[in-house]
Amino acid sequence: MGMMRFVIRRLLIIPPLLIVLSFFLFLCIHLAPGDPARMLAGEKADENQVELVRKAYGLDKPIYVQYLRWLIGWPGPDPQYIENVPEEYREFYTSYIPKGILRGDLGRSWKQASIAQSIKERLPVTLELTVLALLIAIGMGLLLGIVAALKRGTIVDYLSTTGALFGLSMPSYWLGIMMMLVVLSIFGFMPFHAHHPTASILLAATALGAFHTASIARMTRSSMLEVMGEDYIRTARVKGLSERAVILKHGLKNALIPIITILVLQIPWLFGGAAVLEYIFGIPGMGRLMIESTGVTPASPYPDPIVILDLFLVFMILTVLANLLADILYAYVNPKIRYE
Amino acid sequence: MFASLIGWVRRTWASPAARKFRRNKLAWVGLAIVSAVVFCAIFADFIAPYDPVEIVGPEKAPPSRQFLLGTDDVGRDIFSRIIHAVRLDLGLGLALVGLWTAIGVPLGLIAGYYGGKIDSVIMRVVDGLYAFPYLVFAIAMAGILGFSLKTIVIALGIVGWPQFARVVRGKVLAVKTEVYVESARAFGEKDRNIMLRYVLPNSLAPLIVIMTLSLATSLIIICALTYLLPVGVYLHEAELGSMLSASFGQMRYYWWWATSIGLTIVVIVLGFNFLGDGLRDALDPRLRY
Repeated sequence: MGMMRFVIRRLLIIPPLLIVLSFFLFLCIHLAPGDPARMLAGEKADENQVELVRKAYGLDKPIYVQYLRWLIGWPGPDPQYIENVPEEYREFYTSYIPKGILRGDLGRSWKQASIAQSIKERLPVTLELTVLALLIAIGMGLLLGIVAALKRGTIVDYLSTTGALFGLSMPSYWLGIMMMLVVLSIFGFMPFHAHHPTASILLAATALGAFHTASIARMTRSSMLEVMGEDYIRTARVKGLSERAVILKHGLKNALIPIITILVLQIPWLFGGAAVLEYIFGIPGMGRLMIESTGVTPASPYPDPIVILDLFLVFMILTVLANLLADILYAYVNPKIRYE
Repeated sequence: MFASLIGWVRRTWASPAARKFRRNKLAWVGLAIVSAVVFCAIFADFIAPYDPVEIVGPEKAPPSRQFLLGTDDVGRDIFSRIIHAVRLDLGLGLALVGLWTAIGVPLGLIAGYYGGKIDSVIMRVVDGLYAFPYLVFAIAMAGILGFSLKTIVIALGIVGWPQFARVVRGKVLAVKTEVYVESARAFGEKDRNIMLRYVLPNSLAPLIVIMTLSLATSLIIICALTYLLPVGVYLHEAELGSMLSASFGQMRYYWWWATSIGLTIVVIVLGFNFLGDGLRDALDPRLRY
C-alpha cells in the first residue's frame, strides 16, 4: 500500500514540474533573438505579410497570453485579422488553429508538420536504442563485475578493472565514431541507419552502453567483494547451497543495492547520450529531431523552438519515469526501504 | 618564510594520504597527463609550430615531419589546432566546474549548517536536479537561445551542481557537532565566519576530488555539445568537439584526422579520471562518485 501511494505521489509531481519548466523555456524562447513571425511567413514574404502573420498568430501578444495559447489553445487567433487576410493566403492561415498541448495538440513545426506525429514516429526508436543500451550495460556490467570479484587478483580481474577505467573515460560519441571506422575498414560500409538499420542501432547501443557498462562493472566488483565477506554468505555455504546459488541469490541480490543507486544517477545521461549517437549514426529518433530543430544542419537551417520545447518535455517525462522505475526496483531489492 | 614552506611540503609529503597517493601508479599517470595538459594550455603559443587558424600547407596532408599530425581539409596544421583547442576546452571545463562549485558549495554549506526548512528545500532541488537530463537541456537551450559557448556553459552551470552541494552538506553535518565548532559558537562568532573558517576547510578534501573528476565529465559534455552544434566555433577557433565533427565526414579517407582529435579527448579525460581516483583513494576512500 505504501508503495502505491509513493508511486502516485511521484507521478503527481510531473504535471507541475512540466508547467514550470515549460513556462521557463517559453520565456527563453521569447527572449531569444530572431522573429518567429518572419519565419512563419516564409522568406519571400513582404513586411505586410509578416505583420499579418504576427497578428493572426497572436505573436504580438504578451508572453503569458502566448503561453496560454500554447497550453490550452485559448485565446485563439483573432478572427478579424483572418478576415483581412488576402484570399490567396487565407487557407494557409486558417488551415491550422492550435488547440493547445493540454488538449493533445503539440503544435506544428515551421514546416507545418504535426509535432505529435513526428514524436509518435520517433519515440519508439529512441526507446529501442536506450533500452537496448541499458540491457547491454546491465548484462555486461554485472557479468564483468562478478567475474572480476570472484577471480580477484587474477589477469581476468586486472583486465576487466582496467577496461572499466578506460570505459569510464571514453566519450560515447568517440566510441561510436571509432566503431564506424572499424566497420568501414573491415566490412567496407558505413553503418548509417538509412542503409543498415539493425547494425546501426546495435552499434549505437553498444557505444551508448559502454560508459554504463564500465561503471556498473566497477560498482558490482566492489560491492560483490564487500558482500561476499559477510557472515550470511558463510552461512549459506555452510548450509550446503551450491556456489552458484550462493553467488546469485545471496551475493548478487545484496550487492544490487549500490548498483541500482549508480544506475539511477546515470539515467539523466542516457537520453543526452542517445541524442549524440542518433546524430552520428543517422538514427531517426527524438534526439536527432531535437538537434535538427536547433537549426545547425543544412537540411533544416532554422531553429524551431516549439519542437525543441515539446521534445524536451517528453525527455523530461521519460527521465522522471525511468527514475521512478529504478526506485521501485530499488525497493524490491532492498525491503528495508520505507516510503513515507 | 621559505623554511616554513619547505616544512609544509615535507609534512605533506610524509602524511599518510600522500604516502597512499605516491604508491598509486595510476595516480602518477594521471598527474603526468594533467600536468602535460596544463602545460600545453599555458604555453600553447610556444608549443604549437603553426598558427591554429592560418592555412599553412596543402589540404589533407598525411602526418609528416613538417606537419606532425597532418593537415585538415583546408590546410591547417592539425597538431597546432589540437594544442590550442586543449587550451580553449580546458578553460571551458574550468569555467564550468567553477560555476558548479560557486553554486553548489554555498548551498551545501547553508543546507547543512542551518538544517530544518532551508535544508529540505535545498535538498529537494538537489534531488530534482539529479534526475534532470542535463545534456538534453543544454541542447534545448542552445537551440532556443542560439548556440554559443557562453550559452552552454551557463545552461550546464545552473543544473550541474547538485553533486557539490550534497558532498559539502554531508561534511558539514559530520563537522557541525564537533567541539571546536561549538566553542566558536559559544565565543559568539558569526555564522558566516564559522562556516568559512571551521566548516569549509573540512570539506576541502572531498571537494578537490569531485572537482578533479567533474573536470573530466565537463570536458566530455562540452565536447559532445560542440560536436553536435559546431556552429559558432566552426571556422575560427580551434575546439576539440567541433574539430571532431568537421573530421567525421572525411573519416573514410583521412582516418588520422578524426583519430588524433578523439584520442586527445580520451587521454585528457583519462588523465583527470586517474588523478581524481587516486586523490579519492588517498583523501576520502568512502566517497562515492
